[in-house]
Amino acid sequence: MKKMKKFLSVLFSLFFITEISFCNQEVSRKFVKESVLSNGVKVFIREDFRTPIAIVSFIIPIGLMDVPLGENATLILASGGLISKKTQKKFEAENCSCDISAHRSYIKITATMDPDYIDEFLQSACEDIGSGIGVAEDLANTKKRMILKKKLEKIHGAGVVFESVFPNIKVRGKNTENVLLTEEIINSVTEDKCRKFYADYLRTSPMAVIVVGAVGYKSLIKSLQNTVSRLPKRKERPFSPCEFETSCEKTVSVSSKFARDSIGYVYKIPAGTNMNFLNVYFSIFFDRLARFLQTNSYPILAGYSTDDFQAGDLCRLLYLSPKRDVSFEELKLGYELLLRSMSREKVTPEELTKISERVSQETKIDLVNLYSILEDVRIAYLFGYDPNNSYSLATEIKKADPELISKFTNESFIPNLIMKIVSKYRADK
Amino acid sequence: MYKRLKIIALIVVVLLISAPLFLKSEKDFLEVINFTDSIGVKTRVIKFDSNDVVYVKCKFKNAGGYFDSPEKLGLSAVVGSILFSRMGELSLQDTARKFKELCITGMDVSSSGHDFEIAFLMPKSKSADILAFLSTAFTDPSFTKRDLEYVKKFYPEILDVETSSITELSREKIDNMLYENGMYGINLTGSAQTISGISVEDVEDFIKTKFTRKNLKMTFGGSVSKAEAESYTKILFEKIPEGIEQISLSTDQQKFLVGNLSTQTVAKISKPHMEDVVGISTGIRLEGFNKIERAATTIIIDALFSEFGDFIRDMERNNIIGLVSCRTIFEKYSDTLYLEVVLNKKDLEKYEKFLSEKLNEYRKKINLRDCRISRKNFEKLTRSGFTSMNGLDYKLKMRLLPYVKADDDALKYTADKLFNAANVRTVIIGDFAEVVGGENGN
Repeated sequence: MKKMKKFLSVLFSLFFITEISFCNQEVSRKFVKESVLSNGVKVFIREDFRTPIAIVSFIIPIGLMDVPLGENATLILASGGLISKKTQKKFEAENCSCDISAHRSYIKITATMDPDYIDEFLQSACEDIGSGIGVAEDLANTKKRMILKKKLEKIHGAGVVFESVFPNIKVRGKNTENVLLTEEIINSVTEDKCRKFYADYLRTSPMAVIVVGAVGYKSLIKSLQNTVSRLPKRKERPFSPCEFETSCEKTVSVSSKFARDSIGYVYKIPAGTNMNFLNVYFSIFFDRLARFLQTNSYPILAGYSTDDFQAGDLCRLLYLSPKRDVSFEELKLGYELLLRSMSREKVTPEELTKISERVSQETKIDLVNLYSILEDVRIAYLFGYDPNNSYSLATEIKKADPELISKFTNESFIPNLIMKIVSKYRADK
Repeated sequence: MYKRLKIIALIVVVLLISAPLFLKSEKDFLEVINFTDSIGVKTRVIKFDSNDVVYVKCKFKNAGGYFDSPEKLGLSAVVGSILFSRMGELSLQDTARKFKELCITGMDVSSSGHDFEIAFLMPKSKSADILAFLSTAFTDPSFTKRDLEYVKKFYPEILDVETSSITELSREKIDNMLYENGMYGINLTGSAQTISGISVEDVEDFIKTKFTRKNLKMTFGGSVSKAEAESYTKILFEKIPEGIEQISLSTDQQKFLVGNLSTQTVAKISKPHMEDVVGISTGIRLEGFNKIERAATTIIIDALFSEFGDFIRDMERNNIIGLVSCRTIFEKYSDTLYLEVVLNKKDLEKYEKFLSEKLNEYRKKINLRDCRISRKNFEKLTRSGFTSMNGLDYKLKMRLLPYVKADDDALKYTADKLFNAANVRTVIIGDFAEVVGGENGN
């Protein structure tokens, strides 16, 4: 009987150990695990078993700013074929959606799928990326669609503000006007140009693969070693931050029949700026907006900062588009008051506590959204900081130094706000 | 005896350890509970691990724009704009700050349809404060006449924006043609005239009469128990009037909503600055579709019009380059399929011929192989959880369609109903020198 008791107590201990290990798994899966494959590809994995979905994203830090004048269309068209149509079609039949987009500093391939297909997808995707088989695929029709899209954007007024800004900014010594895609540039792309782009620019280092979802770290690493790490290692391309010239016009006014009233500021992020501090700063910045803007329908602010420029430590665009019930004049006044308050009114500990609480809740909401986790990791990779930092933002806000916030506003933020964009709904207004 | 016990105990341990592996069925990802709570509110709880975030949706039946009186069209939209603008003693700005402090996010107030819907996300830990704060909007609204004038001030601009967008313009015209003289065919934003006639009393009366418990349906999503859901509803709505339960609409009332198909089948709208681009919107009125037919419609649309679907492939085979988007709107008494295509003007005639041939072809025979693949994917979707919490109710609606019942026969039968040329209406927008059978979109 004694033996029996001992046996049962061991059993109970075993049971509790099992339970505890499950609990630990709950906690540990809140974090992103990093690894580097033999060919230099960085891997970020966040296990999340709440839903049977996995999102795989390849980030290739080559963007529109890296290619010679007039070759931006080649980059977009060639990158669109990094995953061949055959692969895309095959996996679409398995409920896997794949999206490829080229940005100013990186190319992003994102696929959402049933985790059962992840091995197969990685295999096919790497065969395509490794061989460049699809980079010049279906070029004639893709070019025609691209031209049509550009025309449509113009009619809709989408991108009117962005496109009007770029000719006034110089990046890496180049006037960014060449980033704009014209019909002529799109038509100049040939199959040979796409293949040359692939040969000259595609590198496994720097490159990253981010996986978020219902996949186990160990099995995934094994799978990545059999697929992604076999991507041929070629001469590395340095990932240098962009140089940014501020000798451009300070204010641009744009009139468009189709666009709504909006104001935007471009903030040049000076070299060496601590990105964690910057995130703390912008959390305070956007929180204070509530004080100067009122929205009638439901009080959510329409302000946001885009990370379109962020990759490559470039600059941040602060863009405010009024909701239905904020007039342009109020928006303008609100922004001016906000800048004045950031400059003159010191942030108080109570204010920091409130913001910290809110950010803490927002982080919880972000953690529910698999795509927002993926975005956090992507931004962290491109900036070169720890992807788990975004989860500690609330703590960092709480301990922020009010002196430093004021100093930053007056010595860095306001002097580096280089542009104001005004887009009017009606040209005659 | 001891040996036997030892074996049994070992089996128990093995079962306990391996249980999570076997229990990973669809219930692990999605569990839906429907019940009527103690204050008589119909409630739905969608349970899943949501990290302390709760999705809340309050739906007041028959309080949407379709039920605005013609002379006060836009009233429900105005109520939506003003409802949470000023809470209690707070100013507009302080109300905005309070929303941020309480971490109420994703607030979406929608009144453009049958129902008046309010959806938002809240942290569970602050739920009591948040719900008590929001409840005052229903029991003790504190907006002023000035606030109302402020909201109304922006309506001409909203209408202006709507009529300058190609999509909005064509959608509005298509609806006019599919549901002529019916509320389904009317722009629920209202007009400058109807909006200007709305008074503070109208808004107060709307809040008192439309926001009642018998009229309410709650949906909660996330790590929420039945008891918690019940307590949330109590805090929010215990004090609103009980009201009268909505009964189904009479045939005449339904007819008033859906109207008739117009005799005009094609309309051209001329819009300057379109250069050599034209937009063609095709609308199909789908009346009386049951749930299986809706599931079949979703499958067919996915198989035909998705990125690698037959429609786009065939268009390119015919050397027509266009940007295609297709979606269906399921309404209570009639559904609508919208197929929107942007083309180069030179391809317009070719496309019109292609479209008519294709719709006819699909009616006779659809690609069952692609439809089966699509059905398999939707069946998978019904078992999966959510990647984000936005639009949870809509996502759930799509998950609850009976895809498994949409067998080959149902698909064929639905295709026949779906691509009925008599129910198709088309709007073409472009920079046309001559306007034929339509109007000027200027």
